[in-house]
Amino acid sequence: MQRSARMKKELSLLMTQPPFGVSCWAEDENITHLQAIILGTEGSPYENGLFKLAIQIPDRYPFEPPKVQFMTPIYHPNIDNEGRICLDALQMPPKGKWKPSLTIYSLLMSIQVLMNEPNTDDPLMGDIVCKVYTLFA
Amino acid sequence: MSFSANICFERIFPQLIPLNEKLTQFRGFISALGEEFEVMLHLENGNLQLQGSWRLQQLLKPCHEAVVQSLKQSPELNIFLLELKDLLEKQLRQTKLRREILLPPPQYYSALLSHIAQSGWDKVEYVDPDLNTLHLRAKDENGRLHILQLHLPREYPKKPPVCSADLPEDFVFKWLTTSSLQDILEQFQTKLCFFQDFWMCMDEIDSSCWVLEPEKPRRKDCKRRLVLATNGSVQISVNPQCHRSIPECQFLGAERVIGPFRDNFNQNLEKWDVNSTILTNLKIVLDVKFPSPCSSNKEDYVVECGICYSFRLNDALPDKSCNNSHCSQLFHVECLIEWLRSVSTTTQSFSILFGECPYCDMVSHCCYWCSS
Repeated sequence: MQRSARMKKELSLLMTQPPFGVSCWAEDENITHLQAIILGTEGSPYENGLFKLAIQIPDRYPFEPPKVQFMTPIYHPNIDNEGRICLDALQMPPKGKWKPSLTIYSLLMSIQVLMNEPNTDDPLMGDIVCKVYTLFA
Repeated sequence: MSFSANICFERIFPQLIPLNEKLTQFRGFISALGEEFEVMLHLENGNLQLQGSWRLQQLLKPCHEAVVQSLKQSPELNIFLLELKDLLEKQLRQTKLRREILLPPPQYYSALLSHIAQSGWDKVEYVDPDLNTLHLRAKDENGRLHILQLHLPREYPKKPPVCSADLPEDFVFKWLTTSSLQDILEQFQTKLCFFQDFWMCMDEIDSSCWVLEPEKPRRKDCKRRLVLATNGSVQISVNPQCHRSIPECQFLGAERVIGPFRDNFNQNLEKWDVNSTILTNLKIVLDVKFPSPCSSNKEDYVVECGICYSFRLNDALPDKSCNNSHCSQLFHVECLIEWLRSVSTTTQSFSILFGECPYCDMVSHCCYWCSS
């Protein structure tokens, strides 16, 4: 009930004022499955890359975080081979930091930031950390 | 039980014709109350089979058991047929009676039509095809249009119609057996006159304030929820009988915003002047300049719930605000409870839930009182 009202507002905002370098849309009027594309930021290892993401909105949204997954394979210490993202905002408290004041918009921005600044303290892919750490340092 | 056909019943049922010499099969008609029903009788080893037209079957359906019983008990065919005829006549009388109950008598229609003609057909806003429900139009002194809904009983005009109208109180009227619709309309007009000043005061409020609730005020609505400032509103409940006296006021919203208004209200109560309109009085007593629809947008004051992003959720408005005066974010009680319940760090003491505000993260400042 809360989901449909909220998604309507969120989608219209994503349409009219998308975050920089990000586009997000609903697949054929279905508000439960969204798709997004993040542009690799200039100067980062992902420059000129297009990264596709699938976003699934659960029934209890916004009381539960959406499920976000990379569809494009990406070499990143916090994203595994399946495209799963290790980001506290995508998890329920107390483990994570999801709260209803966050939006799809802010999540996509966080993912964009995470791509540029990997979190080496909490890696999903241990072997990548050593290599990337030297690359970013 | 055995059945035997006696030739003498030909005199009682002349329309039944034997089909064979053994007198075991008959075909013909049974008449009851002037109506004739086709039947087929078949006697076999002392058992009787009765077949009849569709209408006969429908009529006998409610008394099927009685038919079977008389079939068992009757020693002779003619006695059974006489009992069957009795049952048929009884059923026919009942259905006839039922039909008479369904439709009002002719006097109803003649009285109603003459009453409508007397009041004028231009007063009729709506009438249903059965002529049982009638909506009449009435204009008050200030040109407001009112609709009086009447539901007419079968005994009209001996019994009064049931009336309902969009008035702050029930419309009670006097009715004599000689009364007509015109009498009701006149009494309705008197009632309308009584509420003129009340509606004048309410209309003034509706036109010069942002009314959050009800969404579309009707003439009968005595409550209004008015915007005082962003994140703050007041709900007034006016008594239509003495509408110029002090209404009941409830302040809703962030404490930081509504606190000063509540203090003003308590201090300035003696300044309430029964000769002024409600709005003028509210402005003086609350010391407020109501945001006006002429100079502001409703969106500036209609603050969405911080969780579901909508304003109206199942007719509830975002009432609950964060206790942190720097945050003051508004939520629907329903949304807030659901969020606090889904977070494992939330603690509960009796009916109070303690948890973090989803916006400012301050626990100590953001405990919510939620009766669940």
